[in-house]
Amino acid sequence: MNTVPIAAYISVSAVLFALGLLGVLSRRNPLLLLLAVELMLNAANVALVGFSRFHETTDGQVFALVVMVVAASEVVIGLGLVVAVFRQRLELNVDLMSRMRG
Amino acid sequence: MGEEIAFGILAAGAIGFGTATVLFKSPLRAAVALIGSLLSVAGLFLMLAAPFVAVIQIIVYASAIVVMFLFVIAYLGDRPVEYSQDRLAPLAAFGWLAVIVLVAMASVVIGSSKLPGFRDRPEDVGDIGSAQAIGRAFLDHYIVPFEAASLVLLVAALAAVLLARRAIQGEQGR
Amino acid sequence: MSEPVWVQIVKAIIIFFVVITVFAYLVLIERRTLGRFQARPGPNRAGPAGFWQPLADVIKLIFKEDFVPKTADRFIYTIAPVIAVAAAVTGIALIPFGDPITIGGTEIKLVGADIGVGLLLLFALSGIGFYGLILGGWASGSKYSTLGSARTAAQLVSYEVAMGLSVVGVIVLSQSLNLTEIVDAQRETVWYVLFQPVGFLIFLIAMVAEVNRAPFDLPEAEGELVAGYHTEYGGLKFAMFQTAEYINLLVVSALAATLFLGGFAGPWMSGVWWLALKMAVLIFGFIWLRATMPRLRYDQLMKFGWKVLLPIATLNLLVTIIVVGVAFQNS
Repeated sequence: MNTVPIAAYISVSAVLFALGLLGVLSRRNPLLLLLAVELMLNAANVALVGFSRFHETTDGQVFALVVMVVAASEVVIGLGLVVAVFRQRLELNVDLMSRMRG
Repeated sequence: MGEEIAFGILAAGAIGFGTATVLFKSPLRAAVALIGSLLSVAGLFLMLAAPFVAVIQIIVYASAIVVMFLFVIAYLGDRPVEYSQDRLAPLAAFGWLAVIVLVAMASVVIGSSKLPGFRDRPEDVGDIGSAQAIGRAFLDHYIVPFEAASLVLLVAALAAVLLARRAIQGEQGR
Repeated sequence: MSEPVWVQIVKAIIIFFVVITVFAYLVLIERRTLGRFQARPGPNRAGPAGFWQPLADVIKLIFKEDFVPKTADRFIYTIAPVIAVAAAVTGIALIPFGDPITIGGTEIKLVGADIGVGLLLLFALSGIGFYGLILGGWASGSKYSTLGSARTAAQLVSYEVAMGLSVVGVIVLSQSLNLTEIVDAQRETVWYVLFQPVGFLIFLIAMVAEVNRAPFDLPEAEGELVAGYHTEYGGLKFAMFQTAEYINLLVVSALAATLFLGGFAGPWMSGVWWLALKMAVLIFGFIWLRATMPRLRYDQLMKFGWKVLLPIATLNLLVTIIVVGVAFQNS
């Protein structure tokens, strides 16, 4: 497992992060927004594991697992919010959801 | 040689499916595209000597988180989205500009990095990614983040139950 | 990657064809056994004792019309059965069939892919297999399918948790996630079913739910939800869903035999026939269960999974860890 330089993996991570950022900036539906956020978190995980390989330790992978836990929790709460808003018959548009009232 | 081909396919898959995720209008198709991206990233993890993280990526991300998304999409109905007001639509160009600048900056940083051996072939590495190694790392050095992560999961589960309950009470109260 | 590529390709081809043949005759055996349970002969017309029945079924299904419903999402509708079958068949590659043999100077391991985290990969593959069912039902565009797939998804996810927990006891005892090493560890001590009887029981129950078999087969309940997630599937695509289900059954029985019953290693015989015997016993048990028990209602199913199975699995794990920790304190 040693012909591809780590720089290539980090470039993939950067492009994925940029794609996720594009999704976050341009999406108005909270579901699609959460999907883009997941993409960004994945990009961060790729960078973490890539550098963990580069420095030949396990620490980056440990951190990546913790990031996965946090991502799962965040998705749970985000989707719960989306369902709660939907039940109140409000429109699923993050611009309109930005005022936390009631 | 085979390794470069594998990396090429996986990287193209991750980036291609990622692009599909941010471009599709229908939440169902975007979620399915995300599955493709997550599986490609799991493949990349395998190539980075992280088999445990790769399998956990499939079990947690590609299989549990996206299924949650699909549940909510099934509940909400898969309408391609249209909005009553999209006040920031004229500013979309700035979003694209930000992304392009980010990618340019990243290329500059990666190209000129002075880390030793960053752009060369990586050295052979022993066992850093098996379940035993990660277990050792968690229990020997990172026990506090481990416990904190379990606390985060507990809080998230409680919060989800509370959110669902308040919504039900809200509906019945009206 | 220590074996030459041609060895791996030959192994893959052999395993694939053996599995497809076993699957075909497993369907026949099940139908005949169910028939005998129900005091009728079962299919015995097509050839001696129904020997050509699987071939006849396949030919019939191939010649059926291959349609896509108008309200269906075409791409996902077509790809869903493929995902289900691919995930199921990949699982076979991880089961060890015997000790390494030597042919012409090359040592060949009798397992498709000896991966360090093999057990977890099997769980991951079953997770991917879910998508075949969920997406298939959702993309069919009919209400029965959507409901069926939502129920399927909830059921599978619930029982996956208990299944994972019940297996951790075995992992703790054998100190490895690699299936070959788990079998070797059982060779040195006893079969893990003696150390983990509760775990074995929970694993079997969860597995019946995971494979969508009776009494947990509400997702494809004929007569309840028409046919659940595969209502709108016909012909070859339907055959692929059935293939996926039966191959999943094979993988699950092989996994139960490997984790709890010692796999291919044994005191009297050794090798693939011993494993096949254990699998046959388990599969007969599953067929017996299907013939005997009534189907569980959906809410009963979910309550059982979360309120009964999961706490028992957690307790089992707790007790195992305490016992192992105390007993091996000195080593």
